[in-house]
Amino acid sequence: MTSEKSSISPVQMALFIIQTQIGVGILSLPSKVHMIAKGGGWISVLISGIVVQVLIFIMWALMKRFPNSTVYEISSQIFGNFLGKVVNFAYTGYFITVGVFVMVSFSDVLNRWMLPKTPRWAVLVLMVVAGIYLARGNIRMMARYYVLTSFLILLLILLVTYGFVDVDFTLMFPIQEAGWGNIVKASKDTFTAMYGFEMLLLIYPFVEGKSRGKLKAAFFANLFVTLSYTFTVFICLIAFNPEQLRLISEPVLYLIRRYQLYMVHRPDLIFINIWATTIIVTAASYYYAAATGLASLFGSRNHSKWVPYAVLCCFVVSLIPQTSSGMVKLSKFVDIAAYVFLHGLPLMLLVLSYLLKKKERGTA
Amino acid sequence: MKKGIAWISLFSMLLFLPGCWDQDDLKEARLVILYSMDRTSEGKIEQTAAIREVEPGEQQRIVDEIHSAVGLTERDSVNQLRKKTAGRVRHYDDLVYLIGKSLATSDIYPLLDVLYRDPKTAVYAKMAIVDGKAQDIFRIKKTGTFFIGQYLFEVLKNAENFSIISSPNTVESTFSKMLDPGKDFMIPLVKKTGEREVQVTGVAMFHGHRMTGRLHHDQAVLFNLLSGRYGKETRFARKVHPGNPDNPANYIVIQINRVKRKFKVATRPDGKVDVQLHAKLRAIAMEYPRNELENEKKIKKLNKTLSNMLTRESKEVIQKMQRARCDAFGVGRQLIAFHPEVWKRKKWSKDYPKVRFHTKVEVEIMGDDLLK
Repeated sequence: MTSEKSSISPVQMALFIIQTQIGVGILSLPSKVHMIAKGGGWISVLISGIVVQVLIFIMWALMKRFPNSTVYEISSQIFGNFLGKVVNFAYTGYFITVGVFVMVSFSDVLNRWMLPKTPRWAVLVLMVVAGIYLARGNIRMMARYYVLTSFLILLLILLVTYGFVDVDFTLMFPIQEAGWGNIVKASKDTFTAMYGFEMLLLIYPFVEGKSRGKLKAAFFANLFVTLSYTFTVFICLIAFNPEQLRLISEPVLYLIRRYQLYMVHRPDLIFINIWATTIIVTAASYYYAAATGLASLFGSRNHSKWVPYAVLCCFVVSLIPQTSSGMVKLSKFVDIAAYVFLHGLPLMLLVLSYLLKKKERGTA
Repeated sequence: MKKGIAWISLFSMLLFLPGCWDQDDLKEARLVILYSMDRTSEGKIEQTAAIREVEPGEQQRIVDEIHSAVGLTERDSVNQLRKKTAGRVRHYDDLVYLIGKSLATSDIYPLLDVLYRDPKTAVYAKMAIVDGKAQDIFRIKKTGTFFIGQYLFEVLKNAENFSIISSPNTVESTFSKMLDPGKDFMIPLVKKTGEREVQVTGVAMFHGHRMTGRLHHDQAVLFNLLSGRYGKETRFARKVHPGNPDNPANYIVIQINRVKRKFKVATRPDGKVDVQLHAKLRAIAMEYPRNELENEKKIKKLNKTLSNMLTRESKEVIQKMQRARCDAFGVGRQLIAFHPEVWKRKKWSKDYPKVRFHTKVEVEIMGDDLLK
């Protein structure tokens, strides 16, 4: 399966995961966690990061038993041909749904902050074209592009740091205002912003090196994302008062909008432009995941052919939800789906692979 | 080959499509520089805007075009105004936003809501309350080489430097302070004092969303020193020697270079709130005609006189703030953060005036300029 041409290094894998994880969720995250956890919102992010580490460990344990297969191949090995296909179909559907979610949220933010009159399809076409182009290539090509654009994340963090110009540290106290129960509960919302680590299920077989190194890379990726999210949420919690956080839907953008940055009147537009790159990359990852799923469903070895179909699927579906209540429904659906596909199924596969004593043939 | 053509046509389509919908050329936009809100005698909202216009010709002359319109809400009055003006009036580059006193004494949030909601407004415009009718200020048109909008902007910038108002004083900074239940805010108060002149006479104190009092110029400076947010050129004159008040030799002008501040909010078991507010001001003598600063004893005496004077004045400032229920120090915020159970039992607009402040100001003259 792994050919020399398409293998990537652990560092590339880490950046692949980071780029996929950093996505649409972060912009509204501070408001969401504050609603439940109040001043302790940043702790919720840390808790959520720990949960993701556990999930990464489960996925890694599964992938370690099948070092040359993607999740699609594993499920057909464990569940058999027919049931495996059903699971793979569901997984493909999940990746398409998340792709849709990314696209809808992206166009929603762009429409509200930057291009109020541009129709959604026009914004999405830009994303689709770039996404198809990226996802058609092999994993190495994608990873190289991800590495190339990863310095943009540092720029984003730098822009967020600019929010420090006017903060009040007392705003984060009392930390346990909402109680520890709510702080833990709010980590559920953070989890939505953390999607992307599931790429491990697909790119693991392409990564060079020992399994321990791969685990380290995945851990590091998640650690980086968790810390930068915590930092962002923390700044928003001390920059805005509770009432503002209740009113503002994207505190991270609002944070940057507040003051002029030298000559720039609207630094938030700069942020959106840089952020758009990371979102397109996130979408491309999901296009790739969905296309690989389609390829495996139809018994094809090459995913490139299936990319346009997967993207078309996402594109059409993402034009459906028009109102904000539709958006909420979609995000709820994605949340539930994530429990099944990120928590449930990987764990089930792992347990079954131990119970049925199934391992990849030819490896000890 | 066919595929290539398809791709090229798709991309060329993209080159032409984006931007069409949201195109808004700066050269066609008519930028509002200064605008104000007043209450009309019927209780409606009247907006006045100064639109910058560059007259074409050899010497590109800049003129301000001034329009007024009456509406039901902020945005409604903008719409009414646009019916009277040529071209596309845009609020991208507002420098100053004025609110007439008649509106400020009632809830100002409805006037500002749209500015926070619309991504295209200039939230970094400076804010001021006009003592009198805001519309009258537009009649100044030009002071020196400054047009009225720019002139007001510079005047308000100086007010920040002189610590009359803490920096930043923008539409956006007001937003965050206005919504905080544990903190109130102040906005500079300007008044037209001459044919071509506007003066920052002090600050308007707010409680909740409405103006409840005012501090005059010197008191505002003192408040900012006490709250630790002072500007670069904080200086003031005080009479430190008895005698004729018209004799400049009886005065000293000091510049505050550093403030060391202690602000502690403590609660007692019976729910009473005590605030310890100590400010140590490090100053240099900018002007002191008596030239006595080589004598340590005399410096000490001077320090003591100034300390007592400023402590007394600070107490007056705080009294005035409590009467206006303006909790600009954020005592409430401290309670929310560190004594949440006490805060829950308080009704702040009633209980804030009962807070006991223990204020002390110490002045320390560190040195002098070229002369002793």
